[in-house]
Amino acid sequence: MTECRSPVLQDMLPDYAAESLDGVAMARVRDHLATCAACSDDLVVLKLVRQARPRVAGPDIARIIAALPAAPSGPGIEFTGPRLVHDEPSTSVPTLPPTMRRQRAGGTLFGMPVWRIAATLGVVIAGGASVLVARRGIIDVQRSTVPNVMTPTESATTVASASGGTETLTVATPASSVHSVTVSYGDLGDYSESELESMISRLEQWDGATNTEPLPGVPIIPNAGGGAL
Amino acid sequence: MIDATQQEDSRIDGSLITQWKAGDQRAATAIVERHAEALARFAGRLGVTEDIDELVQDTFIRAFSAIDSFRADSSLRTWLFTIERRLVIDRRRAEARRGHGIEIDDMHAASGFDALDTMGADEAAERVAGAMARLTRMQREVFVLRVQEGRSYKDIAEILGSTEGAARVHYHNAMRAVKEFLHD
Repeated sequence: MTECRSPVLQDMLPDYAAESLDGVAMARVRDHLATCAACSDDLVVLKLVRQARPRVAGPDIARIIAALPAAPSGPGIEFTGPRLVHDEPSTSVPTLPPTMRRQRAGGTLFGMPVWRIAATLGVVIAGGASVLVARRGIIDVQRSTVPNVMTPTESATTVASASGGTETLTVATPASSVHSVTVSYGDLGDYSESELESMISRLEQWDGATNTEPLPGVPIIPNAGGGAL
Repeated sequence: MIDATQQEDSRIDGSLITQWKAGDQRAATAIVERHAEALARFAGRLGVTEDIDELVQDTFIRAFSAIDSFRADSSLRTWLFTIERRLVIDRRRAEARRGHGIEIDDMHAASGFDALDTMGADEAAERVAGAMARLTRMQREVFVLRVQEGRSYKDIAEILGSTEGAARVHYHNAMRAVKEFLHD
């Protein structure tokens, strides 16, 4: 028998036998077979071999699928395929070591872990206290500590005195008249009408307190003579 | 050569792999259903007679665990065949170490082609089985992949870790040997 002179077409014979070529290629091989005895002989063998495909039992698809790794992190489409009871659990949900599981099991109160109840109470107490402070917002201070609002009779005197080369600035306040001053950080609605009127009248009478703070950039020169500024 | 079927298969497999990577486990089911039977058949042609289910399952587990290493320059089935063949070789080597004396040398003739014994009493089929049993392991694997699985020489070279030229030579030698046996 002569050899085939078209090795390219001869290579296509298995695909022709499997009918996996497109129409054009199938026609080319068909035309070639009409003139090539060697390829025609090969085709007979190929068809015999294809018919002799071993019959193996179909694999257990469900078992294979159950053993596959879970899909990577995606939108979370739930796998609904069958799973075998004896298969290993999925690795997507790691289990805790036994020691950690024992720690989690103990110390419960009302069905909740004690630490969780304690943490909840702490948050509630801290939050409640903060709300109360913010709502009240009133701090009573003694006037001696906040001498910003004064009556005209309580003349503020600023005295600078030299003592051993050290300048001392003193704010002199009459010890006889100590008034309580209310400093509010809250809303004006927290005051009664009489309190508001009293505050307004005091402000109207107040001509401003002397600023005892040195101006920025103005050096304080010790006064050796001790005279008033 | 244009192989429209393989191109379409590659397109579908590529789409399923993308879906599985996006978290759709049903795509894995579809992939298994598309290739499990071919893998079982190929295992039979490689001479595996026991635990074929387990072998196919291990092939898929390995494939899905290393799916990122799959490159689309070959078809998924070719890649699966490659994995399965390596598993078969590993299994034979392990059995050889245990003293079972199973031949693992590709250049030696196989002692038999047991999978084809299941075909039945058809005389032609028996003669084909007899012819293939006389092939070397490499010739038989190439011939099976080319004729019964329709793989290209490029795919066969990848599966067997060889070259296209070597695969083509093995195919023609196998064809000549089978024809001679059948014509005797």
